[in-house]
Amino acid sequence: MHLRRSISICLAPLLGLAGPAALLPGWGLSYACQAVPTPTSATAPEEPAPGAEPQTPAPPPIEIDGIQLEALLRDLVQRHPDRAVLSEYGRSTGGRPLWRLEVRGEEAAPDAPSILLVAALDGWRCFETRVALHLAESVLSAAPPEQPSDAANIEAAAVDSPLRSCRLVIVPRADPDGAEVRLAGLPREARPIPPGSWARDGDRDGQDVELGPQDLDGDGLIAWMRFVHRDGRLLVDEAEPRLLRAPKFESGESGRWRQEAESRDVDGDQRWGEDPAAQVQLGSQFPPGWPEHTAAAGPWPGYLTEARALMDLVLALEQEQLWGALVLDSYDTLVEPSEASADGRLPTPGFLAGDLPWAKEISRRFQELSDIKARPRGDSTGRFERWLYEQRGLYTLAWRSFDLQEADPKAEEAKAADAGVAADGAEAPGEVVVTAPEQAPAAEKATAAGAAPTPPPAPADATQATRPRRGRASNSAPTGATAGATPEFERERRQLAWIDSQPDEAWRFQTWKAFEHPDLGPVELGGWHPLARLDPPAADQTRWLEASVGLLEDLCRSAPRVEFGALTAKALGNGLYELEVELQDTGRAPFVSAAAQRARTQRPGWLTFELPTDSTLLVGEKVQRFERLEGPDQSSRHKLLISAAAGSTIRVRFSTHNAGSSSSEVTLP
Amino acid sequence: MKAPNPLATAYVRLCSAMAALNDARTPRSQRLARHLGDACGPLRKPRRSTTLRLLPATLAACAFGLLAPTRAASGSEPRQSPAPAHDTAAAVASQDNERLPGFPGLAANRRPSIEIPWNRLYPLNELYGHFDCLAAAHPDWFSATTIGTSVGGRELRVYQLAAPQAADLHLPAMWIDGNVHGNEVQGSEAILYLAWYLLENKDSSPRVAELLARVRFYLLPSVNPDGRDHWFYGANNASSSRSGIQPLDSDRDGLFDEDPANDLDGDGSLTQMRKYLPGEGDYRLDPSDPRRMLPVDYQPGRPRGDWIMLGEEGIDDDQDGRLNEDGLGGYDMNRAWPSFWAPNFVQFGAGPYPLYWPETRAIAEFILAHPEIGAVQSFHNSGGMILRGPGAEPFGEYPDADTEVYNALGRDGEKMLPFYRYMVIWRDLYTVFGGFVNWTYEGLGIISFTNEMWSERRLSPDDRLPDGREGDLFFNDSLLFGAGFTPWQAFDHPLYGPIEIGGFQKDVGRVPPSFLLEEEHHRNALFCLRHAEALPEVELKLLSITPLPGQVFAIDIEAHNRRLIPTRTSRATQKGIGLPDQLSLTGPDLRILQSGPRSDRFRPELLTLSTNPNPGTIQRDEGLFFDQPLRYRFFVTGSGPFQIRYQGQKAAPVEIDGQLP
Repeated sequence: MHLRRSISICLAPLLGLAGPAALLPGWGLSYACQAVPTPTSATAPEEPAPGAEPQTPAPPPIEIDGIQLEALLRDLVQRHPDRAVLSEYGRSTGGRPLWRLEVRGEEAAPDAPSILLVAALDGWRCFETRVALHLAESVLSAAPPEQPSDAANIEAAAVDSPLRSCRLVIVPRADPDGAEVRLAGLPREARPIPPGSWARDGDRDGQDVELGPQDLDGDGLIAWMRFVHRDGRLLVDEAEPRLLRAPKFESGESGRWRQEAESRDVDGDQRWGEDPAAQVQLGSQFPPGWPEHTAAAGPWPGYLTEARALMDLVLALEQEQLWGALVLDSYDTLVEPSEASADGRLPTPGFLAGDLPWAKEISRRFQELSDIKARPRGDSTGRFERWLYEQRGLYTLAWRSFDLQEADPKAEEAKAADAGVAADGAEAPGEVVVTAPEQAPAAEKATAAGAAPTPPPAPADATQATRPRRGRASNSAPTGATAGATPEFERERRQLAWIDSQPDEAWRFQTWKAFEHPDLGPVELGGWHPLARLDPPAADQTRWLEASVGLLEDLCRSAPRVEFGALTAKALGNGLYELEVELQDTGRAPFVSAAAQRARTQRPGWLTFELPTDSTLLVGEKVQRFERLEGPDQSSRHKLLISAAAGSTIRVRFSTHNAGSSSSEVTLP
Repeated sequence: MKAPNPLATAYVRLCSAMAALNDARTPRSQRLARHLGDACGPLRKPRRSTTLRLLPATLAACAFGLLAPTRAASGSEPRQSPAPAHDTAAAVASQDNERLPGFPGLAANRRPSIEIPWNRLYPLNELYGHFDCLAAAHPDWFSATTIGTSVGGRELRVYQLAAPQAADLHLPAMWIDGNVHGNEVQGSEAILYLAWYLLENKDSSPRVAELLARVRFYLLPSVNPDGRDHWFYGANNASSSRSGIQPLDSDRDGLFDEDPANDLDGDGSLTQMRKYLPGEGDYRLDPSDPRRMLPVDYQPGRPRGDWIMLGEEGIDDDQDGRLNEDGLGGYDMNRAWPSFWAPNFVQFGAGPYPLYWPETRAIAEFILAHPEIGAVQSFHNSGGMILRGPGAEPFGEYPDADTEVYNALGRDGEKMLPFYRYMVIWRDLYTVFGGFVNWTYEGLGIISFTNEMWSERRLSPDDRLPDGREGDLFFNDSLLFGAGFTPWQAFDHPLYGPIEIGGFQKDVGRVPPSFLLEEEHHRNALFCLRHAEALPEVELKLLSITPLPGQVFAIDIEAHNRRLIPTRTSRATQKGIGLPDQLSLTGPDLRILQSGPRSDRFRPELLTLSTNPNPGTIQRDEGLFFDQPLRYRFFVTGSGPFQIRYQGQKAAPVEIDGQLP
C-alpha cells in the first residue's frame, strides 16, 4: 500500500542520518512533508513470535519521494536565496519535474566555471539523491577557515575549502519516475511509458503489454523464484545452496533448475513475466556504445524525454562555463580509470592519454581518502557519463556511490565456526560440511525421487536456512568455487559471505521460501532483494557521504585555470613597441581536455589587446585565440608590434569558457 | 474540341491558387477562408461523388487567390512565389473524351488531367501547392498529414497515397523522401512526379491500380524545407544550403552564423573570387576561353601562374581575419540517424546526439509508428548513384539473403537509370555514419536506397563533349545560351583589393537543366515503383485435408510470397526487429491439436512440432522469402468451416476458408 500522510517531522532522521547537524547541516528543520513507507517496512523489524515465519530485516529508510525532494530543494533555496537557484529543465515521461539546482560557495562568482553533478539516472538508486543533496548543502555551508589568533602560527592556518569557490549545478534525480515506482513498491517496469510507445510488446508475440514481474506471495516484495524445470540448466551449489550455478559437465553434472523473476506465465508461452510495460532504461539512452536492438536501449538514444532533456541541459550549460561533471551511476570510472583504446575511428570507453593523469590522480586521492578500492566498472554501453566525456569533452568522472561489499567466504566461515564453538560448542572443529542431499532444496529432492516437486519445509530459523553450516574442515576452497562457477557466481558468493558477516544485512538476500505457483506448482521465492546492491548499510552511509565531499573538494581543486604570466612592453625606439603576453595554464588539468580537443566542442580562449586610439598596429592581431596550452610550461606567448606614444597604457584581457577570465595593463616606457 | 467546361476551368483556377493556400496560416486568412467556404461547393470535381478532403473554405480561398504567403515561425522569412501556372487548355482537354486515357509515359494523344510543368524546380510553397492540387483532385486517394515542423517553423508534410478501398486495410508501405540537404532539391519534384504519375494512371493502368490496391505510399517531399527555401531564395551555389538553418557556432567563437558567404555581385548566386597576381599564382587563364582557370603545378625553375582563387564570394563579416567561416547552419541531417551514429568529430554534421533536429525526430517517430513500411527510398543529388548501406566498413556485411534483394533491385535500377551505378556507400563512395537509409535498414530492417540524382554524363551521353569545365562551358554557351555562367567581373574587395567575381550559377552542376528534368523525374519515380512492386505479397493455398484415425484431420497449407522482398528481412530476424509473421487457423467447431512447418514436401510426417501453447498459431520470425513456399500442417479435430490467415507487419494479411466434413 502506498501511504501518504502530512506530518511535521525532522527530515534528517527521516533520511536515516545519525545527526542532522553532522551530515545535513541546516536541515534539522521541521517540514510539512509526506512520508511514503515502502511495502517493506522502513522501521526496525520486530522480534518474531515463537514459531512464526522468520522475518527478514527491512532496508534502512533512505527514500524520499518527489514531494519531499522538492520541499528539500525549495528549503535550501529559501535559506540561501543569493547562492542557490532551483529550476526545472524538463519533465519526465510521467510528467514529474526534472530539477536543476545551482549552488555556489561564498567565494564563487555567479558566472564562475561550474561542475555538473548528476544523480539517480536510475531512480531506484535513491542514495545517490541523498549524496547530491548532501553535496549541495556542503557547498552552501562551507565555512571560511579559522584565522589563527597567533600571528606567529600563521603557517598552521587551515586551508580554505575549495567548496567555497565551487559552483555546482546539480541534477538530484534524473529519473524521478523510477524513484516513485520504487517508493510505491512497484516493479521497475511499472514506470510510465512514452505515448505511442514503441516497446509495448517486449516478447514480440503481437499482444500488447502483458505482465511483468509481480508480487506473487503478497510479501510486498518482488524478488526471485527458482524451480525445477524441463529446460532447467542450473543446479544448486553444494557449498552455497542459496545460489544456483552452472553444472560441471565434465563431472557428469547436469542442471535442472531455473531462476526467474517472481512472475507468472500469463500467456502460456513458457516464459515468465517477459513482457512488462516499460523496458527502456534511462541509463542506456545515450549515444556512446548505445546498445541498439536491446530492450533497454529503446529505439534511439534520447527516446526517453528524461534523456533528451538531460543532454539538452548539458548543451545549455556548455554556454555557461561548465568544465566538468561528476555522475553518480552504476558505471564507475573513478576508482579504476582506464585508458581508451586508440584503435579505430570511433571513441571507446576510457580516458584519452592526455586526460588519464588527471583521472588517475583524483582516483588515487579518492582511494586514500575513502578507503574505497577497485571494483568492477559496470556496463559502459549507452552511458551518460561517456557522452559527457567522449563527445562533449568535459572532464567527467562516474562514481558508483555504493557497491555491495564482498568478503572471503572462507574467512567468514572460520569466524562463524569460532562463534559457534564459543556459543554452544555444537559445531566442533573439523566437522564435515552438510552435503548436498540434505541441503538440496525440497523441490529438487522431490523431483529427484520422481515425484512432483514439493515445497521445502519452512525453516525454523532464517539463519539456518540461508547459511551453510560449516566447520573448519571447510577452509579449503569450496567445490562450487573451482568449477562450474562463473565470475558472477563467485562475486555473489563473496557478497553473501559479507552479508553473513554483518549483523543487520540479512535482508539483502531473502530466504528462499516454498510457494505454490499457480502455473508451475511448487517453487521457491526469495533471493536477492531488489535493493540489495543499491542501498548502503546504515552504518556506512556517513562514510560514503564524507567520501563524496572529499571527492567534490578534489574535483574543485582540479578545476582548469588560466592566468597571466608576464606582460611586457619593450621599447624598440622611434615609438615602436613590442608587446608580449604570456598565458599560463596553472590548473591541475589543462584548460582544454584532450577529449574536448578531439571533439572540438570547446570554444578556444580569446586574448584581446585594447590599444590606445592614437596607436597603430603594425604586426599581429588585436584579437587572438588560444587552444590547449601545450609544452613543458603549459604556456603560450602572444606578440604585437605597435607604434604608440610613450606613457600610453595597453590593456590586455583574456577569456575562456571554463577557466576564468582576467585582464591586465602595461604602460609603455 | 469541345467548349471549355466551366467547372474544369474553375478547378484549374483552384489549383493555380493552391500554392498560395500553403501560405494561409494567418488568422486573417483563416477567417477569410471560412467566410468563403460556402462558395466552394460548385468547385468540386464533378466526376466523384465523395467530398473533398481539403477544407471547402480552403479550396475556395485558394481558387480566388486571396491568401497570403507562408510565414515561418522563426528563421528566415520565406518569400512569396508565384502560384503554379496550370494550362487551362490542358485542363479542358482533360475532359475530352477523345483523348487516350492516362499518361503512362506514352506521349501521343495523351493529355493528363492535371498539367504540371516538369521543366521547373519549385520552392516549397509552390511544391506543396502542386501536391495539394493532386490531393484536391483525388481526395479519396491522396491526403496530407503534417508530422512536425522544421527549425524555421515550416511544415513537414507527408502525403499518403493508396486506393480508397484500401484505406482501412493493413498494407505494406513505401516511404519516399527527398531534399534532406537543402540544395539537393530535385528529389522533391521526382516524388511529386511519382504521385502525379500514379494518380493519372490509376484508372487506366491495371498495374497501377493493382499497385495502389496493395501498397501504400508515404511521401515526404522535403525533409529540409528551410534549406530548400534558403537555396531558392538566398544567394547560393550548387553545393551550399545543404544544412538546416539552426544557428551553429561553426568557428567556436561564441557567435552564431555571423560570417556567411556574401553575394557581392548581386547575381543571386555565390560564385567564385579570383585575383590577378602576376607570377605568383596557381592558375593561368585558358587562352582559348579566359573564363576557364587552368591549374599550374608549382615546379622549381618553371614559371608560376598569374591568378589565385579566393573561394566563394564573401567578406570578413565579423572582422576576425577569416572569410565565410561561420555561415548559416553547418550540420548535416543525413548524419543524424541512430544506427551506427558517430559524434561530430568522427562524422561531420552529426550534431550532439542522434535525431537532435526536429525534422529528423519527427520522421523517426512517424516511421517507428508505421511498422508496415517495408521499402524506403531517399532522394539526394548528385552523381548518378543507387546507394545502399552499410555506410561504414566496421559495420560488416549485410546478410546474404538481404543482399540478394538489394542486388536485384539495384541492378534493375542501373538499367532504368542511365549512368547511375549501384553502389555500397562506404566501399564505393565514402564513409557515412548515421545515414538515414542505414538506420532504416540496420535499425528497422527495411530495404532502403538512396539515389544520388543526376549524372553530368547526361550532358553528353556519347562523350563528345570534353571533360571538365571546357565541356561545361560549351554546354552553357550552346544549350543554355550562356545563362548558367556569370561572366567574371571586376570587384573591389575590402580585404583583397581588386579582384574578379564570376562562375557558374547555383542551378548548374547538381540539378539537370530544365529540358532534361522530366526524364530524370520519370526514371527515378519508376525506379521507386519497381521497388514498391517488390513489397511482399503473400498467397495461401489449402493443399489438402487428410482424414486421420480418431476423427482427426491433417490440414496442409502452403504460404508463398510472390514478390522479391521477404515479409521479414534477415536483418529483422537477426536483431529481433518488429513482430514475427503469424499463420493461424481458426474455426468455430474446431480444436487444433498440434501444428508446425513441414520440412519435406513428399513426407508429411516430417514436421517441426509447435511449442506454442496455442498450436492454432504458428509464428515465423524468418518471414517468407520470394519463391520459397512453405508448407504447414495443422492437426485438428471437429467439423465445419475454418479460416486460415497469414499476417505480417510488412504484408497485407491474407485469408482463405476451408470446410471440414
